[in-house]
Amino acid sequence: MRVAAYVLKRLLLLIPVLIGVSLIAFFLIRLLPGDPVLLIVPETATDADIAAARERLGLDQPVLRQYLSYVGGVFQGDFGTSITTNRSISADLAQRIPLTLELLIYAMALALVLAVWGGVAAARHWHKLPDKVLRFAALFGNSVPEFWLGLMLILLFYQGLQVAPAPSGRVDMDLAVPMQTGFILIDTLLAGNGKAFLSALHHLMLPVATLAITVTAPLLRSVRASALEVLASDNYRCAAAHGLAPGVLRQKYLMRQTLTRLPALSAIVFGNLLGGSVLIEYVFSWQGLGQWALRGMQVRDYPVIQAFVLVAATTYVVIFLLADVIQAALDPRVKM
Amino acid sequence: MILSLPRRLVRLPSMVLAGLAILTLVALAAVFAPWLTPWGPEEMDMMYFLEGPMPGHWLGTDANGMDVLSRILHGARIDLGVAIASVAIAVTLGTLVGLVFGYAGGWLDHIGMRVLDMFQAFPVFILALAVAAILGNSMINLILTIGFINAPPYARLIRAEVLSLRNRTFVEAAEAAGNSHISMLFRHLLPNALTPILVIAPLNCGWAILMLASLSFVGLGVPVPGAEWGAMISAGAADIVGGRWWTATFPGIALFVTVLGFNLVGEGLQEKGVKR
Amino acid sequence: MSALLDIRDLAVTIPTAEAEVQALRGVSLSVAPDEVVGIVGESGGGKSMIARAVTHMLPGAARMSGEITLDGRDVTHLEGPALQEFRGGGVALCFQSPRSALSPTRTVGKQMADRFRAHSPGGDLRARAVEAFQAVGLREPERQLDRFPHEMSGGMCQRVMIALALACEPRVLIADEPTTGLDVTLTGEILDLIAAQAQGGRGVMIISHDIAALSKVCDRLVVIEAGRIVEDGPTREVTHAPKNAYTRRLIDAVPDIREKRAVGTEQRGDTLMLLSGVGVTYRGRFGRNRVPALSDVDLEIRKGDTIAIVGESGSGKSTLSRTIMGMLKPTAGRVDFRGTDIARLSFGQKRGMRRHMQMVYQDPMDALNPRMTVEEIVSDPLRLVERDATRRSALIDRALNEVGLDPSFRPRFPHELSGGQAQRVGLARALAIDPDLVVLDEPTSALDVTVQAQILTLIRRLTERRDRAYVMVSHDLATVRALCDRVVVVDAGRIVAEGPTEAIFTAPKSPKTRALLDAAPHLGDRLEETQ
Repeated sequence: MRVAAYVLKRLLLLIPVLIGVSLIAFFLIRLLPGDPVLLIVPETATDADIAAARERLGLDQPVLRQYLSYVGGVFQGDFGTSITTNRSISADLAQRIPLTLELLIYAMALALVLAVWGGVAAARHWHKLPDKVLRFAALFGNSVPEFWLGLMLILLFYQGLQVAPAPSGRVDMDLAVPMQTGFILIDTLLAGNGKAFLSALHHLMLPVATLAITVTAPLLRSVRASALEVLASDNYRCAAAHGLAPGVLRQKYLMRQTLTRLPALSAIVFGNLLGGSVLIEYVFSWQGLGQWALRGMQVRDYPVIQAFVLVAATTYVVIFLLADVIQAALDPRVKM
Repeated sequence: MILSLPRRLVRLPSMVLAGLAILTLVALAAVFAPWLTPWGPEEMDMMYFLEGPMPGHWLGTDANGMDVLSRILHGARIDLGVAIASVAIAVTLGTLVGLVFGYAGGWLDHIGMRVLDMFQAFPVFILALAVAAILGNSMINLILTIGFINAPPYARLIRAEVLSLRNRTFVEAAEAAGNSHISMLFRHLLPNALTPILVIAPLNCGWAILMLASLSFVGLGVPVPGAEWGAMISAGAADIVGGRWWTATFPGIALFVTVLGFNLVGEGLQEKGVKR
Repeated sequence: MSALLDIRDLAVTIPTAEAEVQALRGVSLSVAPDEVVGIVGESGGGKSMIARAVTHMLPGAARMSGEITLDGRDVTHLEGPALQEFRGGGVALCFQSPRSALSPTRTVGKQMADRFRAHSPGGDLRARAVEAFQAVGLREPERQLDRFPHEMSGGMCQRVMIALALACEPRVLIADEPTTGLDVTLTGEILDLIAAQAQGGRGVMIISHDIAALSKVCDRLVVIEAGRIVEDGPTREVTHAPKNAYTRRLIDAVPDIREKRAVGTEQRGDTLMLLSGVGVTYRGRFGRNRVPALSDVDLEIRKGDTIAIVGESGSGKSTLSRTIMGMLKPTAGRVDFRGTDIARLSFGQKRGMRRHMQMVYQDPMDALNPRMTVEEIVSDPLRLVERDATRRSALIDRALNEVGLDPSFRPRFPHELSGGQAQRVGLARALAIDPDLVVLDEPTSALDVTVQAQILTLIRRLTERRDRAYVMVSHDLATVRALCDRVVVVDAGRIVAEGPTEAIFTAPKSPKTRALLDAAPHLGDRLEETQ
């Protein structure tokens, strides 16, 4: 009950943020030097052509009305049409979002498991060998450019050792399965095609590993830091000084308190992951949201840029809300 | 002050020293690039296209016959320059905004923070992509974009620092001593709020370089013949599948090592702060 | 008397970046069954290090030598299950600040159960916890079980802490500064509760800086100075006939509540400040939780006055002092200072007033800007009135001289000062501008006892000149009696008693005043009882 009321309150607080986000996403395009219409119409267009295009795009309307009609459309699931491909943006989004989500979810899950395990282990062996190794690994992960890491993994595992598939597609060409959910691992299972499932895993291997390596690093550092803080805290030392069993100390005192700080950071890291996915999709020719948006950006397809920025920000904001709710559930000190 | 510098350096953690050593080398490469390299950054050697490392072209040549080593050394100028300039913008802007919001409090702070919230609702790199795509990729635009996008965290950091300082007795004592607002801000609050910036700024420089390289990698940063590490990796990416590994690998190593240098300094300072 | 816990030649060395710090040197002491031993000394003296050494909780790099036995069994070096059993079951430690020593994410009931399971499993753990909570004086123990530490008051947390330690069924209970942060009225109760655990063969060791409080409950006192034991004997002998100079200093530093203000005069100067009908209400979020921190306060401050504002923490005495200083805007009433209602002034207009009123703060270290030198700190208010640097410099020297600091302190930074020196700098800053009114907010409570005495002597010397008005906020009635002409007792945001000090002390009319007087610690209580 308390949690439900808290979630409701947070959802209400979300409304002004989303309005602000939509305003920024909308007016970002107005930063564009010059007239957006000139980007759309062919070089040979006459003044009449330009005026017609302006009217067709609604750019002749007052700015506020343009904004309202845009937001109204978004509420009905209409993000407009791409000015370069003339395809419905909503249809493109529906098709591509699952591909990207699949990458993000697996990478995040992998990173969380590695970070919690590694961070706590490093803290418990503070300044000893495991700690040094893990800290070096985290330093590497924090410093390596993710797109270059992806390329190097391709060089090593595809070009060199030939254990990875070519960096394109989600399954081997001959193993296509009907798409139902859009998530390849689920769809191959639904199709009962074991070979396709394995092939899908094979194709996911390198992109997920690349993303996971770069986001594990900050998470690992943070878990290690908060575990160290707990280990040095009066309350942990008190529990240890009262001779509690090692298992109880580790699970109920160390782990529990270390985890309370994880959700907030995970949310921030998820934002980095969203950004990183654009690069990784580019490297691995993964036909997800990032690739689609990138193409839109390279040709200044402004409805595409608008839609992408809006979707990314909304996802990010919702993830933050989720993190806050989890945090509130984990930490009794958070006021609901 | 100057005499005590060596002694203060010795007391720094080895991580910071290692980082400073790397950065010094990169900075030297940037400054002396024209004298260190036989080839200009965009000079083509018509004899060798996409050739592997060999004498004369120690790190090979790219598809245009440009010398990879020369381009990497010249690239240090762009990458280091853009990173430092944009972080300077971010620090200055963020510090001023955070200082004023934190000190003023009330509605100004409230509205200001809500606006910051909205900007921070966008994943940083995605905002950078969108702004770079819209503004176009001149060097000034890139510096401004990366600078502005990195400013909100500084504003938050300084504001939080100022808010916690306001609970300290010495700040109340300063007010009771009759200090003016300006003197409160710049004599009492700012000097005490700056320490965390020292730690974050080097880490942020690493971030800024990665951001610039990433933008260039996807074609929204430094335009094609420009000797920028991310752009070089982007151009070399296509060669990898053909087994021509050097065009993408070497600029990546330069990028990685430079970012590592900044991270070593930042994390080393952080570690030192924790100990204290 | 056979020893239960016996410590022989304990030495602890802690290596730091600069040098090796000898925290303890050749410390030998013992605790007998049913005995309460008090360990007393000033901060940094090493007294907490004894508790940490005994419970194997020394910092990682520390080196220890010597021998510790419990019931004749060597417990100096234990490992694994033997250590786990000894911690809690052999010696259980009550940590210094109980709120931070309780796990924030686990209910106190579960934390009790964890201890039961580790040392004496079996039975209905909930029922046992309820019983244990009752024994330490927690009200409604059943309800407390499912609460988290942050939902409890400081006093309750301390009781939970004691219950947790007792749940391990220790042979020896060690309490490290168990009364820090507690009100005077609670301090006595908690110490009595801890001392009462010395029964059924259990020994108790209490570590504290407060010799007066310890003398009430301990059978034996051990005095520690700079890592060494300088005196060890029955409480009565130590407090009445101290053999060691340091012990004597500790005892002399305890203010005696029977000591009166030397100069007392009913002749009061002109009115300086007049508070009439002042009320302060802190507004909660969205106007909820409106708690009046002060209501309907009338107070007159005249030139030459030394007025004490006395009350427990949370009574509103700090709110009152901040209102007097114009740092808080009252929600009702007027604060007239030199003919102006300062409650209505803007920030800029108040700046003009600052030269006439200054404040000295409780925590001297926190009150000095860490990035400024002593010179800059003292000249901070001076910049308001004196633009000429040479004349300002002369005034800084005069102020430093007035508080007994050499001009050589001028280039020092706060972290290079001791607590007492820092407080002198704070006083110098307040006096440099020659204000009409000085507010002293618990000016000695954050200092070590021997330093407290020095600062109080300095303040007394200053107030005896009667050239300005002093308002001193305090919870320590003994200091107040020796220092102030008038007393104002604050309780729940209201003034419950006001008048000349002696009138208040000899014939307290309000029950709150009575309670505060009864709780005031002074040496020899226990002696008088036993005599």
